[in-house]
Amino acid sequence: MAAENCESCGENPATIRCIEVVGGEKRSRMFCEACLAEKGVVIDPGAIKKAATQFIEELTEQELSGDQPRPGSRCLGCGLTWAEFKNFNRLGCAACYQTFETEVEGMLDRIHGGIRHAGRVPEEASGRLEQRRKHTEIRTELDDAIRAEDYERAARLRDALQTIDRGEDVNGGAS
Amino acid sequence: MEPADFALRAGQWLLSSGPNSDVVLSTRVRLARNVEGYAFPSRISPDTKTELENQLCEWIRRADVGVPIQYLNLSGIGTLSRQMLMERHLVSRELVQGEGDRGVAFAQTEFVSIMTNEEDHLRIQIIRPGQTLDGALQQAVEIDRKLEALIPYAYSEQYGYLTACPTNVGTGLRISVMMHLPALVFLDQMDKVFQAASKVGLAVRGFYGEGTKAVGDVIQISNQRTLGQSEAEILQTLANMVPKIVDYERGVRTHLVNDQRMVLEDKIWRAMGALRYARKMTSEETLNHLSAIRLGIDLKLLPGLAMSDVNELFVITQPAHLQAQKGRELSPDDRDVARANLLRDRFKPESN
Repeated sequence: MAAENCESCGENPATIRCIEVVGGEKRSRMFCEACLAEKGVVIDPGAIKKAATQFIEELTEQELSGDQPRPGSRCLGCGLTWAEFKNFNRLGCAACYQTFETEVEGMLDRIHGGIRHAGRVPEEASGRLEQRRKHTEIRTELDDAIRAEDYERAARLRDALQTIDRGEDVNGGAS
Repeated sequence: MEPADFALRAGQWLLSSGPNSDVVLSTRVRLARNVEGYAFPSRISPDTKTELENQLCEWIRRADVGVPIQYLNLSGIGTLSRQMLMERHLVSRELVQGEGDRGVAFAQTEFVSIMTNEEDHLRIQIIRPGQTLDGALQQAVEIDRKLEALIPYAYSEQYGYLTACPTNVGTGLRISVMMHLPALVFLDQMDKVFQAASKVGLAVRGFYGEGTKAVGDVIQISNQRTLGQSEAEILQTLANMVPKIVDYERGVRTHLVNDQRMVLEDKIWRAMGALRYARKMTSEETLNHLSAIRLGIDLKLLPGLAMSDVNELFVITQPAHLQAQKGRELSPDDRDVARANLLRDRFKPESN
């Protein structure tokens, strides 16, 4: 918007917009600070700044209240806060990767250009993965068998599934 | 073996020669690993740290890493010994400056070292002479597999091996190739090396690693990415880049010999003059002169000198090594005198 002059004195540049509501009709008028003060309206720049800051903080808090940790939220594993991480550049424990998932992923993407492991898998973990894969496979077969009303086969498959689940429990693996 | 015992000898990885060792000093492979159920070392209580260190030692001992190793607890040895281990690249600065129970298991050849309670619970390191990317990675993975059979590692399907610093997560793998590039430095070509390296995601650092400058014309080139790429892909990036730099350096060396021989000889013999006759010499000046000598040996301008002897001096002229040779602490001034004495002795004209 081009710079306007004050509607009252016509000399100073207008810096404040006033919304007047007269008889249900809204009217926008532009004044300079000096003329407004004469009319008895005192503008405190500090108060405006404070209001703006508050407004932005509220907005930011709303944004943060989703998956992101609020400022000051702590890792359940080790008590680390994100602010502490930013200072020190070290995470405190394995659980920090979940606690600060959103921040960490943003960071990993910047550093590595990827957020998914593509390297070696520990043998124990690869066993677990294999188990899960087999589980899904048998589950699908089981559904097929039930749909085909082949109950003998279904029973066999259910036993197989139970064996796998027991194996996972024994190893303390993830479900 | 006590640290004082190796005051006059460098590790085997600097004494032996390997592929491309006219330009490539060594290949280092490091794997960062943590143990499930323990906070990372920076947030662990001193008692738990001690308990974990004992447990880690026991695992390392039982894993049978393929070579005889000894373990040193860093809080149990003197400052000078710690510094010596660092000068030999057996431990990191982080471990030396750390607190509490932490240490290093290493093989007598110093090809293998395993740090405990560093930035991560375990840092497995292999250093081999020359360009030995495949061999070094293979050995590191072998040792990792043996440890993995005993140790429940902190691992996630999404992020791979979990590390204290997100810059290491995933494979936990850092491959660093230490290169001696005197000709490229001399003809001001290093910018091209930096640019080429950074274009493919490789970082270039000085002799002592992160944040150090390239004294003695020695640089370390290493991968930055550890997540989203496999170990083989990371290795391949270096395997593609390193030979190119080697060829570049060799080409410039040949050019110097053929077209600027007098300039080159003058540089090398001035270095020799300083090493033979100076009465005081700083570490940095020493490394720069040794670099010229190394170049002279490679270009057959200095017959009668062995490359391994010069490589060794890179290590044993460093502050802690000098003090260990003297058996006492020395002021920086006294060290400069002791260093010059050692060098005068090694380079005295009769010995050529």
